[in-house]
Amino acid sequence: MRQKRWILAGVLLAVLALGSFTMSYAGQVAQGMLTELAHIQQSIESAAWPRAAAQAADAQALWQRKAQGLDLFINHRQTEAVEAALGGVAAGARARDAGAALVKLAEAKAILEHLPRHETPTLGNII
Amino acid sequence: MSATFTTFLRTVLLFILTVAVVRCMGKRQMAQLQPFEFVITLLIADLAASPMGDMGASLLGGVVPILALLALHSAIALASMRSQKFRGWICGKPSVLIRDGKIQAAELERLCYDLNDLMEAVRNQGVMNPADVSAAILETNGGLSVFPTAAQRPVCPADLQLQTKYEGIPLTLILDGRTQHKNLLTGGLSDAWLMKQLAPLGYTDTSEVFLCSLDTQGRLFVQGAGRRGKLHVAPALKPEQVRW
Repeated sequence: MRQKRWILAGVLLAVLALGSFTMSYAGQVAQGMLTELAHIQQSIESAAWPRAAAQAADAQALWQRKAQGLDLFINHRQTEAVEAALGGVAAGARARDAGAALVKLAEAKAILEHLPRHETPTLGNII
Repeated sequence: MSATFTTFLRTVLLFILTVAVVRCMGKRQMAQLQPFEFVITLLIADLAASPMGDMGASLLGGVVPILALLALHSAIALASMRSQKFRGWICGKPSVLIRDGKIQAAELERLCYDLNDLMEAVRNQGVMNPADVSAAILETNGGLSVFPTAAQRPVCPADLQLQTKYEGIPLTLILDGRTQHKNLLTGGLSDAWLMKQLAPLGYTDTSEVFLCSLDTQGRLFVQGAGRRGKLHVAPALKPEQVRW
């Protein structure tokens, strides 16, 4: 009986701690990346291609570091999709193709905006 | 690291977690599981298998649901121990299918329990005729407990008003050459005492013994190690010296 109580309390505490951490971590990472993408978008829209290419490469490196932590609790396909989209942005910036770069940028933004929403225990997510 | 190693390590981790969770759930076997335990066991197996093979899924995505099921199991077990009503809802209630030799047809119909299944279960318990059954109870885990009538039950010492000797659990003192010190302490015995008992049987070291146990009548059973290990039975204690 005591063991069951400990298990119940332990699991609930662990889930509470882990859930809160994943929510806040996913939110922080997504917010940081969205800020980076906003800067890249400005550079592309102002046709500052060398700056856009450098920012895209930085964003890729930043995402690779952050994705290692995110992979622990979110589906790897999501992190891979962001990685692929960022790769597209970098390629578009290097090729000076604003259309292609912005399409990939929008794709990365959409996935990143979805990340914290996916981690939040809303009624919609639960059911 | 290649995906092969990752898959292997994930499988090892999930296996360890699953075994730990099942151990935490208790010692019952499949046939003894309550309905909610059966459901939890099925779900755990499926949840553990999915991240093992799917490299795209996160490990925590498999671990958290398993832990949630463990917590649910603990919560249900606690609530069942506190409230009989709750236990009734979750586990159901035992049903009497045969009472004083008479099959309870209405109960069989309510439970959709086939008469042939009932006859088979009764025969499995060593009773040929349902008329010889005092009570047959379908337990909440699905097992059928059959109690023959007093006239059909095997005779036991109490029926003959015989006095029986105390018969407790024998102590295993040596297991595959290794002395079981905890059991020696339980019996209030020492290594020196053990070696003193083994010496007349031709053993100079515990590594020469495959199994040595002491029963509550004070008899020492010793089987030597190796294929040709001999079995010895020797009195080691008087029954009144037995302290466990």
